[in-house]
Amino acid sequence: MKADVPSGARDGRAARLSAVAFGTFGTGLVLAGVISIATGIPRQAYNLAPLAGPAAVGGRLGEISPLVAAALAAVVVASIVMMLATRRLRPAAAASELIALGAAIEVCVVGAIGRIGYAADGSVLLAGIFCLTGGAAVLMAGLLAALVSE
Amino acid sequence: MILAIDAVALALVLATAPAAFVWLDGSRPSPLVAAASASSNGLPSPAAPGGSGTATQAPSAAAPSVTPVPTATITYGNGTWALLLPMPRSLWGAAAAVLADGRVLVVGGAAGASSTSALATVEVFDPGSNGWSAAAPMLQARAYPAAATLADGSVLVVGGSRGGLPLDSAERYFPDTGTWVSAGTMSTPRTQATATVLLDGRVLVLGGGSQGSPGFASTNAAEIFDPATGTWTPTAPMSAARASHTATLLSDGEVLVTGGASTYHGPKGTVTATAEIYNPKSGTWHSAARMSVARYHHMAALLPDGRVLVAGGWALTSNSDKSLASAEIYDPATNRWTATGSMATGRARGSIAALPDGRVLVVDGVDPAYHVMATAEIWDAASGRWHNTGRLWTAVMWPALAVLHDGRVLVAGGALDAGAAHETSASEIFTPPAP
Repeated sequence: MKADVPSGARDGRAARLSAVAFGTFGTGLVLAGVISIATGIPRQAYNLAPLAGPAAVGGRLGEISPLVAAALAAVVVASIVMMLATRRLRPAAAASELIALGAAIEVCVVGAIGRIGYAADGSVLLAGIFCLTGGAAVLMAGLLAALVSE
Repeated sequence: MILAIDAVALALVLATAPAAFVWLDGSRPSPLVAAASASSNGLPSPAAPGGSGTATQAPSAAAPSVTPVPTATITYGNGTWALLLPMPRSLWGAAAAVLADGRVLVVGGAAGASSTSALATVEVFDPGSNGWSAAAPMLQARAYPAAATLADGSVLVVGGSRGGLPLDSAERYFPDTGTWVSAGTMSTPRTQATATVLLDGRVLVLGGGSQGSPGFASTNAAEIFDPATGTWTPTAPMSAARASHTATLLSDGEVLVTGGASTYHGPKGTVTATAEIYNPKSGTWHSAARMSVARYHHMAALLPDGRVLVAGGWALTSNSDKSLASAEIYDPATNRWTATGSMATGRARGSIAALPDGRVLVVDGVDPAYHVMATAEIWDAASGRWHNTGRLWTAVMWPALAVLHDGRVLVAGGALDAGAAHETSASEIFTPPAP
């Protein structure tokens, strides 16, 4: 006979899965956006010349620091999401981390939006939108993680 | 329950994208009335700009290969600003020189707030393709150098600073071979100096900051470079030490020098309202009438009738001084300054261009509140008034500016804030409105 699973536990599992899904989605969007902007592929940001290579990151750190910060935050989000998925991090702690990181990503991207928000022809740059949307997804991942019952 | 929350969360996340798009789309500079529209001034039609690789182009020797790039035309009220793909790198405080074939050389500058990040890089703009490429770098990195195109087509670059110290070296670029050759050593190191090509082909180099920290003192020293012999010869000094002054070649071959500061950095210097004129034939100076106000980091342009228009700048080296909106005109025939219309707002560390039709364009700079500006104004000799000719896409101070052979004006790079914490690679080109 099948054992009854309490509905609270089912919701907790679902919330954990949702948080992991949103966190992964957000990380992917932010990293894709940052890489696109840094390489200028497929479109170059109007006010930010693409990096000549990884070595150029150090030389142009002042110029691209918001992008670097957003990318680092996304990498941290990925590790938190992984720990949340494997139950190695308390959901409440993961929630606060994800919310803070999501907010940090949004602040970094909005702060740099004058440089990375537009393409060379003056139109809106999709990679900048990716970064903003990714940050929002990470925020949502944090809110969902807060719903996970211990 | 969680599914419902998921759905709401997903909707919110997905709504971020169009919301951000609408926000960005509406956040362009307000005077923008048409973006990414078909070009009407002979520029290539806009297309999807892919990664052009401009940042990774290797320096080339003689005539740098240029990849045609797409542009977008933006019409602001009157006059047309066309966005170009950025220069290969971000910089400010560079010098620009127009080559005989119409290309523009942007030399040196800084990639940070001080000359510790001085650049040796050389960017070349080709007006035919509206594209940028990298040329062979200079022999020495130079922030805030002075440059002049010589009669033989070569470009002389003098002074500037590196690592906080003014430079006494000079070098010369030969477009035919694409190479830089040392042009000797000046008797005085100098940064934020001026280099003026005299009617006989020699180059008069004046003033500039000559000492590093802590005094940052300017010099009154003047010397002349003779391209024929490649030698430097000191000439009579100015009556006052000047940096960030202006030097304008007058119609009769003399050189008018206006304003400037006794230091080129920091708040302790004094700014002068004096002006003086150098006679290359006699090698002597004589004083000219004083301007109505002391100015440095101001702008000057020769008018077709032989007079000189001076505008903007700061009157004090104090960090809280408000940039000047006033403008005045010097008439060499009467040795008198006459006030003309003021600009719409104060402007210092901007750039000025004498347009071929006699009007004068000023762009960018620092406003009285120490914000960098994206505005541009044209002075009309007929009315003696300034007319707003719209906004550039990027607000900067100290961009490189050059008037192209076809009358268009190139504005490239610049610092994105008054403290020069950030700089840009943005470049724009201006097609003046009909008079």
